[in-house]
Amino acid sequence: MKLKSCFITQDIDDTQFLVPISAEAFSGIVRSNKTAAYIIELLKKETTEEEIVDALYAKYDAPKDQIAKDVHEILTTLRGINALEEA
Amino acid sequence: MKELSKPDQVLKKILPVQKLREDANYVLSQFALSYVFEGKQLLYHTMTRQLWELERPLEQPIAGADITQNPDLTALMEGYFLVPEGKDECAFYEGTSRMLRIFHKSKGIQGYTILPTFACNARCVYCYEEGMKQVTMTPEIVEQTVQYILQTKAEGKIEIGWFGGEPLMGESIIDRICERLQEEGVEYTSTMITNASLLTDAVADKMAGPWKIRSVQVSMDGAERDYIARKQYLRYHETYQGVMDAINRLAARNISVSIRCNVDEENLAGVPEFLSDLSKNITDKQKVHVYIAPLNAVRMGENDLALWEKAMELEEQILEAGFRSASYSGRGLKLRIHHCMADKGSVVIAPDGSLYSCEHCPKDALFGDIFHGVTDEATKESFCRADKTREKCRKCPFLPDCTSFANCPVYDTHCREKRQMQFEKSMERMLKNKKEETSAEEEQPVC
Repeated sequence: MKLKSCFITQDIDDTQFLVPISAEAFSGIVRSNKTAAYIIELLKKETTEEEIVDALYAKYDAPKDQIAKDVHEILTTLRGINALEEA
Repeated sequence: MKELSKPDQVLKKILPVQKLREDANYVLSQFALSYVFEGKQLLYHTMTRQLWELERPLEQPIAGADITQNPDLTALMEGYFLVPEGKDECAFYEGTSRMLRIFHKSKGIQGYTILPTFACNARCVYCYEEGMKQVTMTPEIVEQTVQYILQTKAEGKIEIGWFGGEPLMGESIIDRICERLQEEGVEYTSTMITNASLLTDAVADKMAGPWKIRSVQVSMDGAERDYIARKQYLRYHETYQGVMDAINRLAARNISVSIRCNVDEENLAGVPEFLSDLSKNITDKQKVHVYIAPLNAVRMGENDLALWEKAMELEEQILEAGFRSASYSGRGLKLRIHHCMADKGSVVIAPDGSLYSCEHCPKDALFGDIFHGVTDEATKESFCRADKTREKCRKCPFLPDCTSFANCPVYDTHCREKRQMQFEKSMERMLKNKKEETSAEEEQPVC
């Protein structure tokens, strides 16, 4: 899966925003926390949920099952706004 | 400290509250402007549009650790009035502007400026179209213009701006395009820029009817002697009076009118006489804005500031004459995402079917034609990009209030000073109005 090309990111100061290029499926702007921003960066290339969890586990000092839960939640949110292209 | 105006609500929702860095020293944002009103110290943010009344002027720099001890300083920091020393605020604005523009960009084109002809019945001495070939749309171009609009328009209502030359020299072309758009079920509203010399009752009826014109800008040149000398109509017959009659026709049909009075040093002295003539002849003044517009050549010359000062002084006379002032004073407290039709992604269709980003039709704004569509994507996009700020504008406090891209062919030599004058006038007017509203509320009897 990866981020759809009709969504772009814009960094302002230390905050990442996710913006749809045209408001067909989603009409809004998403302001990401640090974790979501990192995940979104990973999603700019084809990847899997497992790979994202592994990347975060390597980066952050937190239990893997907690990381998996957070990743799943964020991916669910992104799916909800139709931001993901599933393989 | 008292908040006099809240920040722009869209920005407030999107931008996070600025987080404090205790290790940093903070200074006033480049976008935070000080203003003193009746002895009170005010601070206005040109990007967020928030306005605070301070108890005392701020001393800078302020250590991050000191900010946490003080709720007023915390509020200013959170609202981006205080920023860490060395912050690239231009990049901050550009990123925000880019994001908002992308978010507001629709699929398809929402606005078209159509030039039915470059022909004109006047020969204005300052016209930037002087020397341009006087082309008029052929029937083939007219039909293809409609097809192009059908192929590229955004969903919902579109906006059409009629321009030229003198658009009313292409009356039958406007008739045909509007007829075809209605046959195709296209919803639209329109505006027009015209000298109004050809604006008869029949034309005014069309404007209110099938042309769906909601507002018109009429170009004039001050007192009658100046008007005659500058417009140089091919055929002049009491046209000055005729144009005022045309303005009355529009107002009577509920079409709002903006009278643009073009000035330079030579005709400025005649403007009070012009305002007096307007005052005597225009019946429904509340539908009519008047504004004084220094000519482009003056704006880009060395004496622009003196002229802007005089133009702003004349605003008071416009109001005293009973008109609304469509002036530069007070863009209002809402952040403008777009500053002109070019950076909004609107399209100009020239009489030969060429497509431009800018109604001035400069060669570097040409990006295609109505038969082939966009043939130069890079040129088209370059006008819409928010991140190509001119070097001299990067540290300007008025950047959020100004055309934020480097491609605009028109600029003011002393733009910052001009904006400062406009800002001060705006503040004065807004604060006086607020004060009057507050007094009016206080005078309400309490039952």
